Amino acid sequence: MLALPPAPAPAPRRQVFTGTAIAGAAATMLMGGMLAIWFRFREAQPLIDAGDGMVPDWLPKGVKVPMVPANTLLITMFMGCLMAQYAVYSARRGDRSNTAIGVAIAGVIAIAVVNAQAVIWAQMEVPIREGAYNSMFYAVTGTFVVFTIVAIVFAVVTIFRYLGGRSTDTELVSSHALYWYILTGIYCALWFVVYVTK
Amino acid sequence: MFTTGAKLYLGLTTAAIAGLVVYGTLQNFGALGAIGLIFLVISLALLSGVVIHGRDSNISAMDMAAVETAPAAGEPSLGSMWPLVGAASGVLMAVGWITDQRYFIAGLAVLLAAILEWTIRAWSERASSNAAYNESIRKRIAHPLELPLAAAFGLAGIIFSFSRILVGSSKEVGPIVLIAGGALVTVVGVVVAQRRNLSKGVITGVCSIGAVALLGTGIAMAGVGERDAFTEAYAEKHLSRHGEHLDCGAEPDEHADHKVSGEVSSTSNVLAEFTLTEEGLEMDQIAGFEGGGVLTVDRSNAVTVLFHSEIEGEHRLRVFAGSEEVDVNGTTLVEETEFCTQAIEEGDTQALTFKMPMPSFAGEAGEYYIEVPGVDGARYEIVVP
Repeated sequence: MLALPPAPAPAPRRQVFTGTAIAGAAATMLMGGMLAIWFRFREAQPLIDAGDGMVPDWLPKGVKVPMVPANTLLITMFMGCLMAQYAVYSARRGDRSNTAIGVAIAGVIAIAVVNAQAVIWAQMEVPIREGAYNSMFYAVTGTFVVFTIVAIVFAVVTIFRYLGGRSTDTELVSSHALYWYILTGIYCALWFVVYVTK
Repeated sequence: MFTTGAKLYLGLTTAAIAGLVVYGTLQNFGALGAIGLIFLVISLALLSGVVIHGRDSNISAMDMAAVETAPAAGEPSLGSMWPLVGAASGVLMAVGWITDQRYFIAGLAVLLAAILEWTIRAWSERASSNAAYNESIRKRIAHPLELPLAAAFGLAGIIFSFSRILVGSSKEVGPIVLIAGGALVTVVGVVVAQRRNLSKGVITGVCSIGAVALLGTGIAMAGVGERDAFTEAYAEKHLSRHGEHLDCGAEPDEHADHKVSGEVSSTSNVLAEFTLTEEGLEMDQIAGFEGGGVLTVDRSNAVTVLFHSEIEGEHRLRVFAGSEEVDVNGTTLVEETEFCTQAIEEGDTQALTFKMPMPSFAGEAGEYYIEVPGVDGARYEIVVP
């Protein structure tokens, strides 16, 4: 009895890298939608005289945006990108220890980012239920913190897989770096809208 | 030059830019639409860049390392319960967020465990092309974590189930349930021991059915609740710390003052003795500052006093140690600190051990006292230096 030859093996794909990009695009759209609603709410507020011109009555009275931790957080995000890219550089050269160090530092930086965001929340002391600004502020920054926690988990998984024997799997390390770039881009938009233009 | 995917995403990006321009022109760049379209352009540009960089996510046949490690080059993944467990834990966290934080914490713990197990499984499935070897290395890594945790959870489940069954059943049924359960385990053990060629699957099945039956009954009984005697005892604080359930009023309590011990060990180290007679309450302070009609007690030291009753009826000795305002969920409540003996009959004696938490100057003059409730004039001031 004649049998057909086996089907060819499926073509290998960069599934993790592409999946990260798609997830990153979704995260970007989510944050974009939230910031669009942020602008919409702000535009709907009545105008008040702020001394140097008329501005929407959007920021609650008594609330001051602490720019030091906000700016520190922005700089920290770029540090995270640097470490993630350093891990990619090391992985392509088969340098296991430096790859692990790069990803681990990126993970620690992500923890620091969560901490910095917590400091901002603590310093601003915005009540969560008193108006559109309050709800939107926590929704936007809380979503960003969730994205950052994903970065921490991503770093743990990357280290586990890479040190667990996948030292030739540079795609995962590249995907980790891509996620950090997307996360940094998202924070740049958040920083400009929420903390700078307020 | 451009792959099919790249052409698609570049076209979409161009269309989004065109949409942004048209929308901006017609709507004067209204915030909601313009910001949304700007982020759409950014997202599509990101995907375009990735597709161009990855050549439609294809791996070059010349890149041998990437070909060998690509997910498609590996064996098909086996079925795994961990995604389902992770999803269920997410639901549990959502429910716990709204209802009870214990469910949220349990969901979080299960979610972390599911992530860890899923990661280990995913890693092991790609260790080699031999599924048996992959499973063996998964066990080597995961079993030191899984087995102790499974044993701990199993034990907790058994204890929980038995406790719910026993506190839910009546006093008469409880022992019967225990005897029947023990007998059943013994019978099954004898049957298993006598049949030497019993397969592993049968034993696993019997144990699984027993575990499910026990856990299911425990959960069902938890839904039924505890028997009335326990509910009443909880309501009256019979099961709380020593002395908290006592009502320090003049009237004897049905439960707390039932079968009272009327004797005290002669080796008790007491600060003072109080005797209730027809003339009133007499005090004899054995150590400390005597006289002046006050009882002197060191702050924050546990002291013991004796109380004798030499009059008819049931009487108790009560110490009032001040009150403080406490914040309970935003409501200010006044919480009194008091200690008392049980109500004793004529000729009986009881010891009362108490601790004065604050000095006298922290409260009003004469705020702290020791008394026999219901007997006029049977009161002494307590001084806490």
